[in-house]
Amino acid sequence: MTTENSLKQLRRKAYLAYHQDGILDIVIGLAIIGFGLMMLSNSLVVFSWLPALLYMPLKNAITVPRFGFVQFDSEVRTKTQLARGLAIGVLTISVFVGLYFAVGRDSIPAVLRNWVGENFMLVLGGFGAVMLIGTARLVSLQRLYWYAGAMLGIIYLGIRLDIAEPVYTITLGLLFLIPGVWMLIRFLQKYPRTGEGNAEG
Amino acid sequence: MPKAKGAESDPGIIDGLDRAIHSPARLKILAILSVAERADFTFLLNQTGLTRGNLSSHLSVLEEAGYIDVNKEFVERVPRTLVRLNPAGKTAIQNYRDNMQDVLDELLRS
Repeated sequence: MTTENSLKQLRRKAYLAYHQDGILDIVIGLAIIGFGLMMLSNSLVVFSWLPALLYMPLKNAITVPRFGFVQFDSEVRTKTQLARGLAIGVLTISVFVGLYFAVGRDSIPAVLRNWVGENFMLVLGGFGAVMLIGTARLVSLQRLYWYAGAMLGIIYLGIRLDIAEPVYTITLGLLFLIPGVWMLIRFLQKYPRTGEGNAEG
Repeated sequence: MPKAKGAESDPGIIDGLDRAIHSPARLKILAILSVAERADFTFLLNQTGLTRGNLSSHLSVLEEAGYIDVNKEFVERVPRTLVRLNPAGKTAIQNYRDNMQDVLDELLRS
């Protein structure tokens, strides 16, 4: 093995360990469960993304004091990645909103309009999967690809088996939340808080 | 090439090796820092498996050798020691690698 490969592996190992706290999974899971619960109670589903705001505070409160702080890329590269992520997010949401209005205003062919109407949750899941794949590419987390596949699979099964939308949406959220909680418990066991802050001996 | 304070000189073919780097613990610290932009004390503690005292002492050697920059800051009233490999450290690693290669080549030839 070359030195360069060893360093890449070292970086990869440290990088993955930093993201094995399950916080991302928990936040996504909570957002999806929130979406399902809001559908169930006919509330405003647009607020279901709010758990995403918990990500950084949780990371700073749980991960950093135990695992330590590490910045893998230069600030320029971090900003570029963030900009790319935002671009993917904005583009995906724009296409989704555009499609939503196009369906509502009869500006697309009837066949397509009917299909989107009948499979709206699948379309929504498709956009969710695209965002997950985009995030997976940005942060190099393989499990997000599995989540993207599972998202489409569960929605497809939910539609085919005629299960109520909120039920399979909440199930999907649990699919993210349960592994996230399990990863968090393992993380907390592996990296207990020393109670000595960051001060060196 | 800068030498660590108090570094001893070895006779023979390993004279050229940088004693500030030529220690498994310090080599590990430098390897970790070489794959990250910057890291704090707790992160290095977890990744190296060293004790606080050992890590602190190895970081002092590397700082005195001029290979790393150490900055202390407070985040929400908690002290954080941020460590970064500087350009001199990157060059030193490269030199160490070349010298080590020479040493190994020499040993295999003899």
